[in-house]
Amino acid sequence: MNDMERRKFEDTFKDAFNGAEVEPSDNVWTNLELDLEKDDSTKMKRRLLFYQLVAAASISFALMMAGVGYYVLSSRADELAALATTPNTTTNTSSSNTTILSPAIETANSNTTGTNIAQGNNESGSAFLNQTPANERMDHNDTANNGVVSAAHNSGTTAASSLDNMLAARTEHSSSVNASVADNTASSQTNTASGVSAPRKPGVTAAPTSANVLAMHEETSTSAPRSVSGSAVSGTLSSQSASRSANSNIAGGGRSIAMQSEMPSALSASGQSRRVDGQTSGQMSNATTNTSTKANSVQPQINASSIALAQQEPAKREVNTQIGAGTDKSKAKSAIETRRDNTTESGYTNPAGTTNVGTAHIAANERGQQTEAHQPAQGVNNTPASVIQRGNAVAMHQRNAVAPIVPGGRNTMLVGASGNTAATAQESSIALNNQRLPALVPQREVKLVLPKEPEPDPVAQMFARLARREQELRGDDGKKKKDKKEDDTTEGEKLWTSAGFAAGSFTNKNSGVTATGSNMGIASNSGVAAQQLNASGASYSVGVGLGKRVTERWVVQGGVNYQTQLYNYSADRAVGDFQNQTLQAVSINTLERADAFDARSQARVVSTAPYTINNDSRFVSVPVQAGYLLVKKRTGVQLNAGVSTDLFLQNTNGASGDISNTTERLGDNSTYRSINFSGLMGTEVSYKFGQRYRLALTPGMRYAFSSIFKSSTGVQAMPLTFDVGLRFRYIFH
Amino acid sequence: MLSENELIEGCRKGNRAFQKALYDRYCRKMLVVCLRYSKSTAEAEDILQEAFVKVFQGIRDFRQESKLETWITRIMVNTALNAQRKKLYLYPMVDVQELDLPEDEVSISGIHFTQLIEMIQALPQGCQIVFNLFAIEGYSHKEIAEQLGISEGTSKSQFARAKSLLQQRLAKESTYYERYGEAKI
Repeated sequence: MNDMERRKFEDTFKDAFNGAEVEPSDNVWTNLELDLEKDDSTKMKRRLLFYQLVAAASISFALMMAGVGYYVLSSRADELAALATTPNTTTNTSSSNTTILSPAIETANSNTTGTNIAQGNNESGSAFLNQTPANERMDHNDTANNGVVSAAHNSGTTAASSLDNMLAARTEHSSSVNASVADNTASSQTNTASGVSAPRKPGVTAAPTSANVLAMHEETSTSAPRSVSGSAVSGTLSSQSASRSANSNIAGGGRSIAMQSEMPSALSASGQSRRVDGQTSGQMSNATTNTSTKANSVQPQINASSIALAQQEPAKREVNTQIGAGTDKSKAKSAIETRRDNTTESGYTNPAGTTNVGTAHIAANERGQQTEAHQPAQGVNNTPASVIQRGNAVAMHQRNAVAPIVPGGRNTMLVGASGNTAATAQESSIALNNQRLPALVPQREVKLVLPKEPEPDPVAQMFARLARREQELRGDDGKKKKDKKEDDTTEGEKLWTSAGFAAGSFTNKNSGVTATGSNMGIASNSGVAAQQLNASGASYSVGVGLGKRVTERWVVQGGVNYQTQLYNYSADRAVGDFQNQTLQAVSINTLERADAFDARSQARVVSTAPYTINNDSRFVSVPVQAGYLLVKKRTGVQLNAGVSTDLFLQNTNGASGDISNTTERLGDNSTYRSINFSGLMGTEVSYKFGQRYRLALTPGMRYAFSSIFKSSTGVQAMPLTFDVGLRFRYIFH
Repeated sequence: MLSENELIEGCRKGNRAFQKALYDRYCRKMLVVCLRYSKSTAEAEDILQEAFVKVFQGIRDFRQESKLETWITRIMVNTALNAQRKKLYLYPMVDVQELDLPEDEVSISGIHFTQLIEMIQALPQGCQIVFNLFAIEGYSHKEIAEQLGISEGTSKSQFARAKSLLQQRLAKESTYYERYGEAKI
């Protein structure tokens, strides 16, 4: 077959099925539809499962975020609360970075490695305050729009190292936001807080770096200045209370630079005076303070805050910044103080100051090096009271001397320098605006929001219900266990009956014969009676009882016993009749009738050969006992004590030989008391068999309260019986 | 009458009515395909049911690069092959000797397709599959070998055997018709 033929064969087959159709049965679609339904349900389940997983993941994420948020807020609240209680300035000596934020947000950074203090404002200029060799640098970065004042303090602890530090202050200008970054290039440290302050939102405390400690505080008292001891720097601008002054002090006591800066625009508008004092004292005696202050840079800083202050504080505000370091107190007077008062226009008051206040840019460099911090006024105050001041950079080199600042009047920069200090002052005019500006920084109230009481977890409630149900179910089981326990203990024994017997011995106590006048027969033969009374014998009893449990450990038992007391004694006397035809065994009874002095009596005591008399006394006793369960388990131990009422039945004296027996029964002629009472005391050791049976061994003691003989006989016999009984108890319930 | 696109869109949305319409349109043709790969009608209907489930499940991914009927036919064939793979696993295809083919050409013209289906169903398992794939579906032996996991020679030998058997069967049918003069179906 060639290929053509092969292809022809295949094509023939293929063509044969073209258009071929076979009708399937109806159940194919039915089954198919069922499969499709099943598939849809499976998809729905998968979809539902997916949604459930998504929901679970979302809830978990939300809970996690809520937890993290809560933790952060709570920790921050705690931190703020802790910092709120501290003084206005917080010093972190470990990192030497201190950030203090008031509602106007102030940031102060202290850099340990740098000893420069640079104070810069970047609205229209920058102000640098350099002090060497204390070499402290303080940067005040103020964002006019935000009303944020940040002060970056680089306070050095090592003066030597500070000499090598080169101060560089860069001011970044933006259109309306000023950012100032104080870099300490020598130490390669950057105070980020000052940089952060620029984009910081009004009223929002920016998180400092890890080396910074952030403190946010609100001031309500305005008159009290804030001071920070040591090298801490506090820069505070508050915008809340009236007559508020914020003083930043660096305690040192040496030199001080008092800087007072006012916003003419704001303050004059409000008729207020504002003062910013900065005091800086060098740590070293020969410290030179170079203060470079640029009015245009300071002014926006103050302006922003002062505007906010002016809106809220009609009273006088005072911002004092004192930077004190060093030990040379003599330099204190040489501190630069610049003071401006718009109201009084007293200008600058700086007795020996080298500080320019607000109107001048003072750049300081130490060791003769000239550090230029020339910041041309570029910033434009956004406030209506725009600052027109422009300051020129002033490079001032100072050592140990601070040039006095000549009051230059308003808007006049005074630069005091000694040695090779160059100071440049340029007056700038400040446009005053009498308008009050709206507060740029809204007052922020720090509220401690306590977490709400957590609602009861429904899952926990469900578990609690399950636990209660389980406990209830256990209660049923506990009942069974209780029953089982009752089987093992005496818990279930409330009422029972018992039957048993006891055997023991007895002896008469306090026995004796006394003459009563009517017992001449006994009294005259007391020796014979004593033989009977001193005899001891055996006691047997058998009886039934009934017991009831009244409390957990107390029981009451009673019953009826048939008691027999047997004893033997020897006698050499007998009681004979008148003719001695019959002899009876001598006993209390027969002796009582053998009264020789009684003419009516015909009985006489005669001597006989010794013989043994068997005395048998029968009683019916009704004991009533109270018992205390010492051990109330399957093996029980019980202490019993009670009273037994003994009813006399009969007494028989038996003798051998020609001597006949005598029997005395209950009656008037009997020498025995009809009823006698005995005390009972004993123990009961029992063992429980099954649920209703208990076998008890009852050792006990019985002692008669009175003589078993009638008092008319003059015979005392109080039997004391010790016996051990065995009782079988049937427990009703 | 719904167009093919409408059917596809309706089935993509999971509309049961559109699914039923699609089924009604192609179930008869597809049952023929299933019959060719199966040994009985019940088995073919099972394959048809399973394959249509796959059609409705996979129609969302149908890119309409081919005709819908072709796509459904391919699903039917694959489903049938999957159903037959178990049998092929139990009775693997091996090379078989080629039978002596009749010298005369055997014509199937006039034979009803139901008889052809019966003949195909009467083929051995391996021969049936290879014959369907090669002669009717148009696969090459290489493709068949790859698809069934056998060698290409095995596919060829299986096809040759299937062809021989069919030709013998067809020759017998032709002789019967010629002898008894009955008209061909």
